[in-house]
Parts: sequence; structure tokens; C-alpha cells
Amino acid sequence: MAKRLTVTPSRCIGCRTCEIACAFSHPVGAPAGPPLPGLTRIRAFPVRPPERGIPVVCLQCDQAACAKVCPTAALQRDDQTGAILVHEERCIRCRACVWACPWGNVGFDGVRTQVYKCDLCGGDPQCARYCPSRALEQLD
Amino acid sequence: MIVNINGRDLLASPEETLLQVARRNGIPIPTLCEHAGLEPWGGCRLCVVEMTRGGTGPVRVVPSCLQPVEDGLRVETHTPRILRIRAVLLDLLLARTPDARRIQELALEHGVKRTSFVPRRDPDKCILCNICVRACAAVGADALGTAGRGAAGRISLPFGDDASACVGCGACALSCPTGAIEMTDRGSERRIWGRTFQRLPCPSCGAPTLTREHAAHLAGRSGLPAESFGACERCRREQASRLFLDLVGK
Repeated sequence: MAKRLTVTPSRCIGCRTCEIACAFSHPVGAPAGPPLPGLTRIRAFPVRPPERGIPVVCLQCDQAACAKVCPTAALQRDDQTGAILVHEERCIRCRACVWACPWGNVGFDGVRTQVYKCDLCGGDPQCARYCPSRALEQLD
Repeated sequence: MIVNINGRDLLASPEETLLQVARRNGIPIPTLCEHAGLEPWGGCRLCVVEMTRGGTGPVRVVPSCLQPVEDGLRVETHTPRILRIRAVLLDLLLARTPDARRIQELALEHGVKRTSFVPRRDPDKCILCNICVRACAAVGADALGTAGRGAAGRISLPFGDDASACVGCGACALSCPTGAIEMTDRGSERRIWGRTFQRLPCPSCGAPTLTREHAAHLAGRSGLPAESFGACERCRREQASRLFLDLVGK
């Protein structure tokens, strides 16, 4: 059994470190100069008072709507990590997945003209690594 | 099975095409119409290679994207004859689409700096790769096709102007490798293929989302109500967060 990214919302302090960690883990190539942070795949919605948050990230659903609706099988589960990955070379950018995800966890990057979603960072999700309150954890 | 490409014996599985085997082994073959998510089409002919069965048969020129592998095939991807064929094709395409950067680059790689044919008087950027047509078919709308022959060949709506099957999803414009298809979003309006679509407002924030026709199309294909597709992803996430908040308690 692969490890699982586990969310415990009651521990979230709404600091949004996960969003920064995610953006820096998914850099995009700039036309000139070093790569820039990409778009975040995770959102932590602040709830206050008291200072808290609710992280929302792809659940890698067993019956994933995004993968089901894709006409070119560009969204496929990675057997190693369990993540549903976007195979960009197969994508025709119809964005059916964006509209189909009931949780809003598939986005469209208008600059790269490419859909994007959580890829579990290849099995080592950086949001969990940098979460200071263990609201996001990578558990066995 | 084993196929020999450019003198290298390469392991291949029966469902693969020659192009796939070559790509997997880092052998570059230029293509325009190949798209990993769509059925091979064999339209651009740039991926042609020389192929011999069993080492003694006649040398045939075949498009590698459509050619299934066979045990014992001998393949050459960059012979003078193949390079000449590719150069002629690119010369023709350069006359058709002088402004398409992809064609300029490929032509230059094949030693074609300027077209030797009569350039088209009203050039566009369409390279006739048919990716838009096949993407539209994959979406299930099937609103596009090809029309005309030779220099008059073009991507076209049925009867030239019937956009009734188009759902305004934009897959054609966004997957076009040269940006030849115009799509403009202004406010809630989307214009594409000469037709104006209304994009549905997100029920929560009012931001324009997908077109009414695209929502109905997705609903028809999935069996879900059209309302399932109307919210923008930002509001959807926020709704998810509220749902989780209710679950864990305030």
C-alpha cells in the first residue's frame, strides 16, 4: 500500500505554508532567467476566529470524475504513488476535468494553456513536509 | 520482437508503431500531426522512414506513425531520400504558412530557408495537422472537418459556416500547435468559429465559466445534471472547505 497524504483539518492553523511549498515545488520555466514558482495545487481557506484553516487538496478519488470525463485518457493514476497525473502530451485542453471535479481541485493555467492538479510531488508531497502543525501528513 | 532502426536492434512490443519505438529510444523523427492523446492520422507525412522487411525485400517509404512494428524490420530514418521528401513537404508548407514558427524552424533544419513554390497570397497559420479536427471528435462534438485539396485544403465547418455542432469548449484553439484558430473571451462572451457563445456565470461569484452548450454537452455524456459543471473551481474549493468545516466541527 502506498503512503497517503492525510489531511487533518482540525490541526490546520491557516498559515498557507502548504500553498507556498506547492508553488515552489512546481516551478515553471520563465522565458529568460531562473524558473518561477508555479500555481499552487492546494488551498488552505482561513477560518476565523480563532485562527484556523481548512486545507483543500486533490483527494485522488477512487472513482475520479476528472479521469472519467477525459476524452483522451490524459489523466491516469500512477500505481506507485496513487496520484492521478496529468499526461500533458495527451491533453487536448478541453478542460472537461476542470469542470467535472466536484472539489475544484483541477485548475487551468492560462499562461501555459495546460490543466494542472496535485501530483503528490512524485510520492513526497512538499505541503506535508512543510506543514508546521501536521494538518498535512504523509502516512503509511 | 526486435526491429532495427538506424543499425540499432531495438526491443518493441506488437502494439507499438515505428514512431513510438523510435521516440522511446531517443531517435528524433519530425512530426506535425502526431498527438499522444489522439489516434495517429498519417496526414503530415514528415515522419516517413525507409523500411525493409527481412533485409531483402524492396525498400518502402512509410509513415512511421501508422506503421505497426514487425519482427525483423529494418528501418532508416534519415537517408538522403527521406531528408529530401521531408524538405519538399516543408517547402510546400512554407509556401502555405510562411508565418508559422514551427514550420519555419523545421524548414530551416531541413535546409529550406525560403520556399521555392509560389507563396500563398492570403496565408494563415494552419498547417493542416488535423489536431483540432481529431480533438473535436474526441470531445464528442465533431464540429470540424477538412475541405478542399492541395493548396485549397483547409480546416472547415460543415458547409463552410455551420457551427451548430460546436459547443465552444475551445479545445481546438488551445491544442492548435500554431495558434491558427481564433478564440476570444470578452466578459461572458466567447467568440469562436464565427459564433458567439455565452459563458455561464458561476452561481457563487458570477465569474464566467464554461459555455452553456459545453455544460449541456458534458451533462449529456456523463449523465449528470448540467448544474454539476457550472461553478468555477475557486468557489468549488471554497464550498469543499465549508463542507469539511461542517464535518470536523467549528
